[in-house]
Amino acid sequence: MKESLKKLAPFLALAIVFLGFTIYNPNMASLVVLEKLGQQTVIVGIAALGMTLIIISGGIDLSAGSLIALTSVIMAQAITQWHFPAGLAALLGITAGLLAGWINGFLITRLKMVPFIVTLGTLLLYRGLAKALAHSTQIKVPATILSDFLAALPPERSWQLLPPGAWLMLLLAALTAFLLTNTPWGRHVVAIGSNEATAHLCGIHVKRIKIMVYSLGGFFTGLAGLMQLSYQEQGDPIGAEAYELDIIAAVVIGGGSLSGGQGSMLGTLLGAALMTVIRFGCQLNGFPPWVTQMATGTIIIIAVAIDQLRRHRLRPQLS
Amino acid sequence: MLSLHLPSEGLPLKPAVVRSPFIARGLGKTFGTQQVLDQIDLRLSKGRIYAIVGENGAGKSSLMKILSGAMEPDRGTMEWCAKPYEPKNPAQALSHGIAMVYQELSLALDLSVAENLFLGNEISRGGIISASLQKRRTKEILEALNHSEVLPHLKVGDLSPGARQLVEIGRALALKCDLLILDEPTSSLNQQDCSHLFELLRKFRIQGKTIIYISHFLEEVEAIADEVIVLRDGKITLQSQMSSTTRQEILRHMVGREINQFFPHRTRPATGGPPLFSVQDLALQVGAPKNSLQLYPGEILGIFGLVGSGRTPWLRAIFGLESFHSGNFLWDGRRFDTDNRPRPEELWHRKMGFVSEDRRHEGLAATMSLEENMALSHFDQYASHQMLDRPRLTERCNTMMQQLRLAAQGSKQNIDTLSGGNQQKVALGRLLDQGSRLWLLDEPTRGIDVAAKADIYQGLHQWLAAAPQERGILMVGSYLPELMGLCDRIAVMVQGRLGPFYPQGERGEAQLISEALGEAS
Repeated sequence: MKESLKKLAPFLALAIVFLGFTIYNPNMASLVVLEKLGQQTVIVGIAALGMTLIIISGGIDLSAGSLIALTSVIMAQAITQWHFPAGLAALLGITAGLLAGWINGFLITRLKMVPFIVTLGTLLLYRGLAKALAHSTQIKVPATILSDFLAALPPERSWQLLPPGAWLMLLLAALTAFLLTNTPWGRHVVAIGSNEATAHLCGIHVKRIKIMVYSLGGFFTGLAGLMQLSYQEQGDPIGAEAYELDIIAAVVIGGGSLSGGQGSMLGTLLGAALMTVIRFGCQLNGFPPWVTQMATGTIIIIAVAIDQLRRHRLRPQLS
Repeated sequence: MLSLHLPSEGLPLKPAVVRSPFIARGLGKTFGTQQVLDQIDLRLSKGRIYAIVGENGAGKSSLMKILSGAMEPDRGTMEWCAKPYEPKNPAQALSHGIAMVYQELSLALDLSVAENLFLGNEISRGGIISASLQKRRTKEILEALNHSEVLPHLKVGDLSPGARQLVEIGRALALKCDLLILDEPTSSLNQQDCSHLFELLRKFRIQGKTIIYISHFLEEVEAIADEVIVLRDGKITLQSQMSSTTRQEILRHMVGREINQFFPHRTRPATGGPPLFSVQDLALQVGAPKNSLQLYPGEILGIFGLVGSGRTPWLRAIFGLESFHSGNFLWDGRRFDTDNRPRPEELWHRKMGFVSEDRRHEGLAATMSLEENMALSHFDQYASHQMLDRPRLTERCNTMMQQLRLAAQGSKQNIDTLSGGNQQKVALGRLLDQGSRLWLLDEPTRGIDVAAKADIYQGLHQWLAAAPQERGILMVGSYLPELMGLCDRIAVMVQGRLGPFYPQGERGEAQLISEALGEAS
């Protein structure tokens, strides 16, 4: 009963905020706006899928924002300088993301370093690398098939409701959620985040799984980089600045616990959508940016506070 | 100089505090569905030493937490110095002159001895800690404890378990208290330090302090206490002058039934033939004792050792949870040594299982359900083509719950909401369900209620009896009645050295305890 309420909470929050904006300004509830929301949620949303896995396993990845920039720069460079076909350039960027995630995982597990510190380091490292690759300038990319991911839908395809990138995000979320709940691997990820000592005792390959989780996180971040490229039509070494905070916030609003063992893909997407709705709703109505920031901040704190209260009430203090 | 006197001498005591006894009326505490304390009435006078005994889970710790302000009672009232006493936290209790020394060492390992001694009670001048004064006082206190070699500036994390316990006791001495509660203060101490502590406590008694001494070593209780209070299932079952009761009577009130009825009757298996499992000269570090054992099919072997005796690391080393320096063991036709180190995943695969003494931090995954915790070591058994077969998991979990008489709302219940006893059944149920043939158990019934213990003993017995030729149990612990009731052969571990195994019954309780304390050598 209470568990289901917890799952419902981000959904309710999203509905309430959306309804609030709609009452204030009926323009909010139009198909165009829905499409815009889809576009703007995808970048953070896709990266947040990987982050959800990482946070459930008890870790954190601060390098996600930098990695989005790095992978988008790699793809832009591949298309413009090295004349790769668009598909291959995308593959290269996503592989680079996977590799960067693997490096995070390797440093954390093999060198036994704290995730926060490792990824704080790679945050700067990957950002620096992106700037070096792009010679600190934005790389304009000509329109390719990649642009379609987040482009506005032409009128004849308006029945699709959301741009392809958004559908991809939903598909990936469903797949990852399935992986997490219905395979031994997924349960092992939860177990590691819930209690790493127990997982080790139970013969779970803790290190191996953690490396896979960070690699998968890098993969999703690379995909987010692709979306960034598609949306902005350029590889931007200083783009996606501080996106890692939005990504982490999406996971937390969606019920993820920074101490591990808890979180859901659906919740994360709702969390990401909630933040977009707030940002977009404020923009639509001409509110200044500080309103957006304070509202988002408040939502994060409320989400975590509700979670804490619920946990305290459920747990009997047996000693 | 100070070692001749009392460490807290000279500290100002309010006269009213010294004169007044402690009174508790109808204290009660309930967690979820479990009533841990029920109608506790207590009356303590000054200048006396009270021993509180009872099994793990009898409610001793809860009662002491209430007295020391770490927990609030649901029902009942307390009085101290003829005034209502309602501490909201340990700091408030301390300001009333009531202090507690915890059994589970509650020291800050990164801080120094002196800093720990005065933690939360720092000596300061004008808001700045007077480090030199604290160090001087620390030195005096440790001298009073006869351990001036524990220097004030040492980091507590670098100290041995015994030395840490001295620091913990020292902390109580650094406090200005009139009611001192000690929870199993001697579990890591050697005989000499024990008797020294007793001397100190007797001096405190003359000084007019009230002392509550919690222990399950009845020898200690007999040696030190004026009065004994027995707790069982949250109730006081006996309160008596030490001189007018016997150990038999205390035990009877502790257990509530004859110990013999408590354990299922088993016939001891034959120890001839090839062993099921054997360990050869396993040593954890360079120069550490080399220990060997043979476990024969159908046997329950017990290793008795006090906290800090090295029993737990040694057992964990077998399961690959701690590294070892030399030696080997044979299991499932395979030799494990320093070239082929045991890893938990391989041992599970070869059907060896392990239950940790630390349920909360190592035994269970708190955010997961009962059935998932059961299957944590063997999710693969429930998967085909990498897909979990959840209905089968639920079905098998229900079977396990029946076998161990596990009371829960269902197999999907969150593990966090179960009582300690039921949680422990899940930890054991994991081995049962996994199908492992050799169980390594570290304090398998720590901190759980008597009924759950009985269920677990029954469960172990039935499991072993079902296929005695291919199963065995190696358990370590400090809870002697359990080892004596369950094991076929028992050895004692002292300072990492494992003594010989003798058939249960050849040595009495007193002899085993004195060996474990390192007396007979």
